[in-house]
This record gives sequence, structure tokens and C-alpha cells, in this order.
Amino acid sequence: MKKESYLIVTIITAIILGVAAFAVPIGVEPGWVPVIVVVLTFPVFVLALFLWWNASNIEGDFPFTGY
Amino acid sequence: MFNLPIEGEELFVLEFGDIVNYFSLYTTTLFLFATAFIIIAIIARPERQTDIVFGTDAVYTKEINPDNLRFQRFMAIACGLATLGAVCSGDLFNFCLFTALIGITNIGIVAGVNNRYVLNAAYNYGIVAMVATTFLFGGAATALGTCGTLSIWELAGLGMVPLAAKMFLVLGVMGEGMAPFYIAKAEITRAPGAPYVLMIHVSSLLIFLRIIEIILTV
Amino acid sequence: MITLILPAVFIGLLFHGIHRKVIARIQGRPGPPIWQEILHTLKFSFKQTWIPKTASMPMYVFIVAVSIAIWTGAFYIVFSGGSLLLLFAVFMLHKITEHGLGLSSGSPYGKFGAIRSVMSAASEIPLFATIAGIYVVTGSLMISDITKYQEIHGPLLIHAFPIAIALYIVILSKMHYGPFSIIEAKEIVSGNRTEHFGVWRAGLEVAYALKTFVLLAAFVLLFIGALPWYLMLLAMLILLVSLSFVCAFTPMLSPFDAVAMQTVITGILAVYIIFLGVMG
Repeated sequence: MKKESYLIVTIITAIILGVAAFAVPIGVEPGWVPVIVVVLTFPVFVLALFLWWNASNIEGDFPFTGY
Repeated sequence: MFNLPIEGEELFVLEFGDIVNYFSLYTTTLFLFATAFIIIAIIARPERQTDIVFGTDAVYTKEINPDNLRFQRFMAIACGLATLGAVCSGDLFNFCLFTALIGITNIGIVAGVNNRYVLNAAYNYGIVAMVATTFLFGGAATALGTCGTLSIWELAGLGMVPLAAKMFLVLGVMGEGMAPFYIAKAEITRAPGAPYVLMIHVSSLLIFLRIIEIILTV
Repeated sequence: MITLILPAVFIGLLFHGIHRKVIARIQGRPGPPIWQEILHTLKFSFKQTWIPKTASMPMYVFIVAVSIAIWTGAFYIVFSGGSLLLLFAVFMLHKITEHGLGLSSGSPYGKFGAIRSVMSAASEIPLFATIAGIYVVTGSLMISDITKYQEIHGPLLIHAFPIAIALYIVILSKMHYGPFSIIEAKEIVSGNRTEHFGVWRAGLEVAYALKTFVLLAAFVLLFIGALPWYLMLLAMLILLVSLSFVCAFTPMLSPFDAVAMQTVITGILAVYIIFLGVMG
């Protein structure tokens, strides 16, 4: 995937996590729904964030694969 | 659930006459986990196992035969479906039936590998699983004999199921879920692992987790 | 919610750093700075990352996400006073992810790590002994009920000391550089994490930081009781330093000895619980 698509995934999951943080004031019922949402989106957020800042815009070296 | 402080709140109940299938927070977690691994077993490519040639620095990659692959994948999915049944059934007999099915499909996953030693090991697991079936259904029969019903819904919180029946059930589950035996033998390093062999492990641990919930509840 | 998870990750990584520092000081080395594990995670996340040709995709990536997901779930279970049985389930699911990490890469080192992880299934049985013991003593498996019980009757650490030892051993068996951490012994390179490098390794570090935080917090909640957050962190830190002492003074056991030790401990606990159940 391109760097932009990782960024989009990161932003979307960050928004979901942000909304889930305010689930109690908004009054989402039942109480375990935001927990499920966080459990499902947090890993995606972490990996997408790391992959986003990891992805390079320039062509990299080919890794050494042996003689 | 059942007014017992064990497994969290009740989420969903499905009645089939006197058999009541239920989802608590606990069994739902197990159910979702098993579902995720079934999806992975369906879509994942198998690993290409690398092995070291003994006594040298050489490393080679094993080829996977597509025919074996198809059979192993089918068995892994069947095993996952049996696990789903075992974690959500509300009846001791159904639970035992699904657990026995897990034992059978686990043997299938191992036997799908084209290797003399692995097949030999699969026979050994078959014997263990057969012996364990006696304990498993013996436990359920003892529970039926003493309580007159096998519905977990009816038995919950009564403490009527004798300790011997519970021990039989645990022994049976330990024999049917064959992950510990499989690991103890060298065959795991011969058979390609992910994602099919992992399904053996997932099903073994999930039925172990379910039987703990059952013996604490009934 | 996420406002609690992110600090927990950083504190967990800091705990890993303190663990390394304490071990180093006991062994007469200067040791890395305590924030080293945070830097480590960031470093791994910037490293070039790809997927090995022999790996089982998408399992190779999925299993890292599952590792993070289950410990995020465990965090909520502990802090919302959920069921202890569910925490036990997460611990068992963690074993599946350890196994899956090793199997998914195709590497023989990873596979040996995975085999050792399943072989030491005995490390889960003390946890079951803990749960059974707590159920016998307090009559409930909900963490909220257990903390209430302790407000009335005093900490469980005092009148159920053997059960606390059991959970202590469970946590010890999951610590880095501990006597029971045979799955990451150096003779099998990095065990089941050998082939997970770069971003995948950084993801795993996040998961393991959450794991350390959750297990330490669970010990404090179950055996000392509910405390204000700063005292809770202090209690977790003291517990961690005691674990670091054990890790610094004991060599890594051989796989056979590790399993034998855990089984003996479980046997002693089983006798204790039967004694509790019959006498009390």
C-alpha cells in the first residue's frame, strides 16, 4: 500500500477511537459496545500508524537476499 | 449469567425446546476468537516451512502439495465450526459431541500431511482421542444419571453434578484437544504449521476454557 | 478509554526498561537507561519492514494485531471489574498468539519457540489454581466483588498467601529474562519472535507492554485491593522490582526443568485448595 493509504487508515481509526473515548457522555448503550470497538480498532491504529511513518516516498535499496 | 458471579452478563439466548443455547460475555469472546481464526484458515496461504539440512549450513524450503492443502484446509474449517458449536452449546451432551468432533477433525488435519512419520503419529492421536471419548461421554452419562437432565441452563448454580462426572469431563476434554500431545512429539517440526496446525491449538484451548466455565457453573 | 490505553502502553514499556535496569545493576552492569524500551519500540517502528517469502499471509500480520487486541480487552476487563475467568481466557489466547507467531513465519527457530510455548502450558495451570482458590475464598470471580471483599476482610495477600504466590509465578513466567521464559532463550535466536521484525516487532512490543501492565495491575487489585492511582502504580513498581530480583538471580531453566517446576507448584496449590474447600 501507499503511504497515503496508511495515513487514511490511521486517521479513520484515530477518529473512531476518539469518538469511542466520549461514548459514555454521548450515552451509547449497552456499555460494552465502545469496548468492542476499541479492541477492534486499536491494533489497526497502532500498526497503520507505524506503517505510515515507516513507509518511504523514495525507492529504497534492495535487501540483501544471499549469494 | 444465571445469577452466578462467574462469567459476566448474559447477551443472547436461543431456545430449541429444552435445549437452550446461550451466549454470555465469556462464551461470546471465545466465539469471536474462533470465528476470526476460521476466516484466517479460509483465506491464508500456508507457510512454506524452511528446514535446516542436518549437520550443514544449508536451508531448504518445503513444497506444499495442493491436494493435501485442500484436505487440510477443509479439516481446519470443520474443526473451527465444531469449536463454534462447542463454545456456544447449552447442553452437556451437545458439548461432548462437538468436542468428539474436534478430536476427529484434529486427527484429519495431521493425517493430511504426506509423510509416513506424521501419519503414524496421527494413529497415536486417534487412540488417545478414542480413549478420551469414553471419559467424555461417561462424564455426561454420570451427570444425566444423577440429575436427570443435561441442560446447563437447568443445572446452573445447583451444584448437583457430582465431582467424579466433572473430573471425567475434564479428562475427556484434555484427551480430545490434542495440542499438548501433538507438541510432545516431534511431528510438529515435520508437518507444515500455520494456519492449519494452529487450528488444532485454537480448538484445544477453547474447549478447555469452555469446560472450565461448565464445571464452575453446573 | 483510549486516554487510558496509551498511558498504559508507555508505563508498560517504562516498566520493561526499569526491569532491565534493575537486573543490570544487580549483575554489576551499568544497564540501559530506563526509557530504553520506549526508544526500542520507536526504533523498530522506523525500520524497513517487509514480509518473509515463506510466511503464511495474512496470518503473519493478523497474529500481531490479535496480540494487541486481546491485551487491550484484558485492560478493560481488569479496570472495569469484569470476570476473572475472562482474564484467564485472555491469558490462554495469548498462548495461541505466541504459538501462531512462531508457526506463521516458516522459520525453524520460530517453530521451536512456538513448541516451547505450548510445552510450558503448565505456566497457565497455576493461574487456574489462583482462580479456583479465589473462588473458594471470596465466593465470586468478578474483580469488582473481590475488591469489595478485601475492603471488608483485608487484603487477600495475607489470608490467601499461597494463591498470591501462584499468580506471582504466573507473572514471573511471562517476564523477560526470567527463569521460565524458555520461549525466548537465545539458543533459538529470539524464539517465536525471530521473524517478526520492524513494524511487526514494534506492534508486539506494544502488546507486551500492555500485558505487563495488566498482569501487574491484576495482582495488585486481586491481592492488595483497590488503591488510588499513584499508590497503585507504586505497588506495581515494587512488585516489578521484586520480580526483577528473581530474574537477576536465577538462570534460565532448561525446558524440562521449567515445566517440572511449574507442575510441582501447581500440585502443591491443588492440595492447598482442596484443603481450603474441605476445611473452610
